[in-house]
Amino acid sequence: MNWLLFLVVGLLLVVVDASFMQALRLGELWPLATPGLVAFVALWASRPAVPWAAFLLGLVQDLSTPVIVGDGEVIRLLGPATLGWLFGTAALLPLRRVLLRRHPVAIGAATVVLTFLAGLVWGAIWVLRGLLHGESMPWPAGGGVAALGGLGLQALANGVVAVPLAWLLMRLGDWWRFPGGGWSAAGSRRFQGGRR
Amino acid sequence: MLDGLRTPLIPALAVACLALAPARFLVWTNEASSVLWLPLRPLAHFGVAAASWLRPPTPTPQADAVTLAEERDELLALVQRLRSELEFAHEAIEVLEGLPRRAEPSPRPAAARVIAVDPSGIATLNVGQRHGIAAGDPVVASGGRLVGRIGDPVAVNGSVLVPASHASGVELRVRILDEGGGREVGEQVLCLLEPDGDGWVAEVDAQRVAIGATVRLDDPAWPMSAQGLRLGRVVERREVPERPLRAAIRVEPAWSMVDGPVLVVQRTGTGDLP
Repeated sequence: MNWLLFLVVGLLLVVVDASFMQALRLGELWPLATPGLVAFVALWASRPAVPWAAFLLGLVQDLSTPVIVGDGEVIRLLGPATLGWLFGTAALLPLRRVLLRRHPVAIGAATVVLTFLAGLVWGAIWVLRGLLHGESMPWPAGGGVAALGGLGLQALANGVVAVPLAWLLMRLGDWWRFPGGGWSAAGSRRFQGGRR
Repeated sequence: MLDGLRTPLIPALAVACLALAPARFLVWTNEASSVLWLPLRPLAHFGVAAASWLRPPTPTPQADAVTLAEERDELLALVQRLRSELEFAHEAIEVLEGLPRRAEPSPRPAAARVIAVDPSGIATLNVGQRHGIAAGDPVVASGGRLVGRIGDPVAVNGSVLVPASHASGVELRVRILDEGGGREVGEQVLCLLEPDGDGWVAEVDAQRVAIGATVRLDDPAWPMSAQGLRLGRVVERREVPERPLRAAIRVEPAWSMVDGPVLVVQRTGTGDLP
C-alpha cells in the first residue's frame, strides 16, 4: 500500500470531518468520512497493512476528538477510534471474500459494519471508565437502547458518506499500490483488483 | 512500510491501558493534539468556511437569549469593576488630602493598594518600579499618617512595604508633641524610638511627655517628604525606678493593616501611575 498517500488522504479526511462535515449534519447526527477510508483500506490493502492503517488513523482521529471527563476537564481520549477501528477492520477482513469490494456501495456497507463495531468498543471503554473512575457516560439520557439506536444511525450516516468517498478513492487507482489490484491505464478506468 | 509487520498488538495494548487511565494522566494528549493540528488548522479554516457557506448558521431565539445574557453579564462585570475603581480613587484622594502642605516641591504621589500581608506584618503593594517606585519611598495613609517605606521594589507590582514599626534594629528620631484640641499646647520632645513588637518604646524626660501625646517623624535618614508625618501616639508611660527624672513610654503606631488597603507612595522615581 502507498502509505504516504494513505496518510495524506487520512489527515485530509480528519480535517474534513472536524470542519466541513457539520454542513451535512442532521440534528445530532454528524456523519464522518474517515471511517469510509478505513473500510476502503480494510477491503483492499494487504492483510498485515490493514490493522496498522486502522491503528494509525484511529490514533489521529482520537487526538482530534476532545472529550470532557471528570470535573469538566477536557482531554483527548486515546482508544475509542484506535481500538474501535482495529476491532472493526479485524471483523471486516473475513468479509472481503463475500463483498463485491469493487463497488462503492460495498465500501459503504463495510463502513456501516466498521462504525457499528467501533461504536461498541467506544461504549465499552466508557462503561469501563465509569466503573473505574466514576466518570459519567457520554451518551444522552435514555440508556443503552437509545445509545445503540444512535450508534446505528451514525453507522448508516457514515455508510452513506462512504459511498461517494469510495468512488473518489477508487479514482486514485494504481496510486494506492494495493496488492493485485488497480485500474488499467487505458481501459475504462474500472477497478480490476483481484480478490484475495 | 508497515506491510511486513504483524498486527500492532503491543501498541494496541498500550492504547488500551491509556484508554482506561485516569484523566490526570492524559492531559499531555492536549499538547500532542495541538502539535498534530498545527499544520492542519489552515485546512480546517477553509473547511469551516465552506461549511458555513453551504449551510449558514441560523440564529435561534435561544441563541439570541444566550447572547443577551452574555452581554448582560459582561456589562454587570464592567459596572462592578468601575465601582471598585471609583471607590479606590475616592480613598486615594482622601489619603492625599490628609497630607501636610509643604513649601518644597512635593514628591509625586502614587495611589497603591495592599495586595498581601505576611504574618510578620510586612505588606505587598500593587505598584513597582514601572510606576516610579524606588527603595526607601515613604508610604502614607489618610490623615497624614506615616505607614512605612518601600523595602524592595519590583518591576511591575508586588513591591514590599516595610511598616515603620517593623524596621527591626533601626531607631527612629521623632518629636513628641502634646497636640490637645488640634493645636500644640506642650513642648516638643526629641527622642529615639526603638522598635518593640508592633510599636516602639523610648525613655524620655518624665515631666514633659503625657499619655496621648502625638509622635511625629523627625529623622534625617528618611526623605524630606516624610518629615513631620504622624507616626503614632503615646499609650503607656511608667516611671523608671533607677532614674527618677526619666519615664519609659510606649508608642502605638497610627496606622495598622485593618485601617484599609489604600495607601499613597510618595514617589521619588519616574514612571507611569498604576
